[in-house]
Amino acid sequence: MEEELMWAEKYRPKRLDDIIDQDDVIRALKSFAKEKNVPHMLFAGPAGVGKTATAIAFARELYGENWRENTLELNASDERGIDTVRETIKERFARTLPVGDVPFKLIILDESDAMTADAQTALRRVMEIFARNVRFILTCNYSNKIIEPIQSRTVVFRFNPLPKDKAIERLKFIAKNEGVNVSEDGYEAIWDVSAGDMRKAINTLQSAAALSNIVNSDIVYKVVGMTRPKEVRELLNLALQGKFSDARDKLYELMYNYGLSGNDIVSQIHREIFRLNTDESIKIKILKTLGDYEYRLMEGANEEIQLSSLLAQIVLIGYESKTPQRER
Amino acid sequence: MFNPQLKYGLPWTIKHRPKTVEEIVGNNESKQAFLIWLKPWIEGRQSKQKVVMLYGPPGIGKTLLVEVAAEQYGFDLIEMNAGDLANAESVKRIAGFASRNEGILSFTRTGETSSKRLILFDEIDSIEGPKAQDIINTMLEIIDNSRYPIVLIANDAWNPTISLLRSKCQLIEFKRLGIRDVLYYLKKICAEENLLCQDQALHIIAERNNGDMRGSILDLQLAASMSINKTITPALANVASSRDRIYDIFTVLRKIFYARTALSARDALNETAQDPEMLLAWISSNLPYIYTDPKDLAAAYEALSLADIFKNASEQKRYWRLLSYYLELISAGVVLSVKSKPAKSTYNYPKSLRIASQLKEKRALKQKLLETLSKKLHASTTKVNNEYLPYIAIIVSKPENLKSLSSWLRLDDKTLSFIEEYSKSIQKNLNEK
Repeated sequence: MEEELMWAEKYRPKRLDDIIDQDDVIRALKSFAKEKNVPHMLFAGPAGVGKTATAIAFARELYGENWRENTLELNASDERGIDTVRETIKERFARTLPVGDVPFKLIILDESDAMTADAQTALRRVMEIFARNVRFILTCNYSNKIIEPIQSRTVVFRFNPLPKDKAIERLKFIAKNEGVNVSEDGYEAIWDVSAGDMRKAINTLQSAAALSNIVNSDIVYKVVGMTRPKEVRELLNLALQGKFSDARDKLYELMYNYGLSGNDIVSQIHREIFRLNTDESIKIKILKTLGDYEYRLMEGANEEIQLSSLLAQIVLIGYESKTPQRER
Repeated sequence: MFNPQLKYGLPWTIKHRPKTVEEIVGNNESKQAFLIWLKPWIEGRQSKQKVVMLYGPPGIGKTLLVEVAAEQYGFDLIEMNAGDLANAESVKRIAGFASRNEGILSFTRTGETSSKRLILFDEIDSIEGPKAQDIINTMLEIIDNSRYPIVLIANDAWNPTISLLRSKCQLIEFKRLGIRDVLYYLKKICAEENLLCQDQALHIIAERNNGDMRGSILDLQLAASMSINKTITPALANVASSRDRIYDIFTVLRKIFYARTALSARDALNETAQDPEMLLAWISSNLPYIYTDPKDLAAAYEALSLADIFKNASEQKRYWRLLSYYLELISAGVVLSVKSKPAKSTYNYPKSLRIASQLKEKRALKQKLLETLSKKLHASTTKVNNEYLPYIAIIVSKPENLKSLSSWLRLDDKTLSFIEEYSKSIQKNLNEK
């Protein structure tokens, strides 16, 4: 058995019984597995609550040791369009018979809300075509981003964010197992920054443990600071100071060096707006512009153009707040 | 104030233009023949052989020779190119007066008339269409009546349209420059610009341009504008000289930014063979240097932003009519949305393209790493990039973790050093706070 470096993976629940705090979901899944009667399913819920882990644990429960042969994991956001999904399913998966006594195979399609409505419509056809020998588990953050016809063909399970006590209990178990010394305020801080997202909580714990033998709140917040590129705040400040070219250089750095997508950058700017040290009316102006440009990012093709334009609009907001407006 | 942008503003064909006939490289015999033809006129005498035709491929210094010789020997040069040769009236107006020694002060370069004049008809093989015969007749008339020497320049002397003119001339052929001549001059420019040039890079530029000095110099300038530390590598040379002529981009940008009407801005875009995406990158990249007023910059970008949306919609919905709004907005939309005049032209190679190409190898490494991790962590590459990689970078700052990452993922040395570097940059990020 190879050694897992990442604790989030190492301590990922392997069996349905290990899943924390999703009791109703687990009860239903166990009965599906027992009866070998499985509908298409949609797992909806926030990040890091165990949707994918539950899907894999379910596969284990259903197929036993043959689970790998009978399960195909796909990521909607990585597959280039529904055609690849269809071809992959057709060529590599649905052609061969399931191994063992379950008469169908299982496809776990992660982040299915990353698919466009058109792709989802095509997916619905794929689900129908292979209905006899394949079952789907779709995971998503928001079920309302999944088109109605798919929702109506699936049993929808909602996953709740983990409650604080359960989350900290799990973190304590991991810390003990890994021999890490965590102070109470350290746990509080991890909860504060992760808010029920176990992946984030465990990653933060492991990062903090790599930096210091004793994990306290200082170390935890240090980790948070390191994972959030400071470029976003700098970019915003430079733009408000009217330094467009410098702000745009930061933008290039975020895009090409950190590999952030346009949406990542907009959502990080969004977070920073409220921490800005500026007039409240400016914050609202930026907020309106930001919303406008998040929408344009969806509609446009060239993220660099849209984000550069966003910066130019923020520069203008900063400029107009400093110069008295004669028109008024 | 010194503006580093400015040094790229002037095309190097002008900045590094030879000042004397001797400095012009290549075609030595042809140059000699031209000077011998010009000699009596230099000495203020008349000569029977009034007209000479210089012909040969573009970019090898024909026009340059005439211009430099005129300056060097004190001639007023009356110069007409394709645009002026478009109709007989303008030919008559300009050259007609000049050849008869009437008041033509406004047509001379220096503003003073000297007794010596040289008349140049450039690009005469561009004369075509229904008016061609008229124009040629006018030129023949001027040749017969002129008291001054006349130079004709053509790429193809054997073009039938100009056969009547040819019969009146002494012909001097100019050939493509040898690679050695081109290299010699490129090196000279590199020295004057303090550029570090690898010989192989200059070879690539010279060879791609096949004896065209003008093209070579402009490609060298493009490569220089793309280079970071004043070093021109073969890779840069390749990029620069494989591109459609850069002076075309400069010309198109200038036409767009100085357009006064929507039509002329749009036409500037239509006339070129440049890829609109490429032009968009150039326009966007150079906007902040051209419009410094925040209102104008915001308005210009607003046009680009909308253009991008129309373009995407036209492709998504296969409704191609929307594409014309895209083209019109990135040209006319930008220029006519602003109130101020464009700042003096300082067009640079798009920085984002430069950065993207520099980081190409790094990005490929990162992508491979993300894909490996994606399988191990049951998450998409985007998720791995956003929700794992920053933490992994911190976790591997502990040396034993780096080792176990390496054996866990069976990483090669390149990927390993990539992640090490990434880890260091994240820690630096912290220390700067």
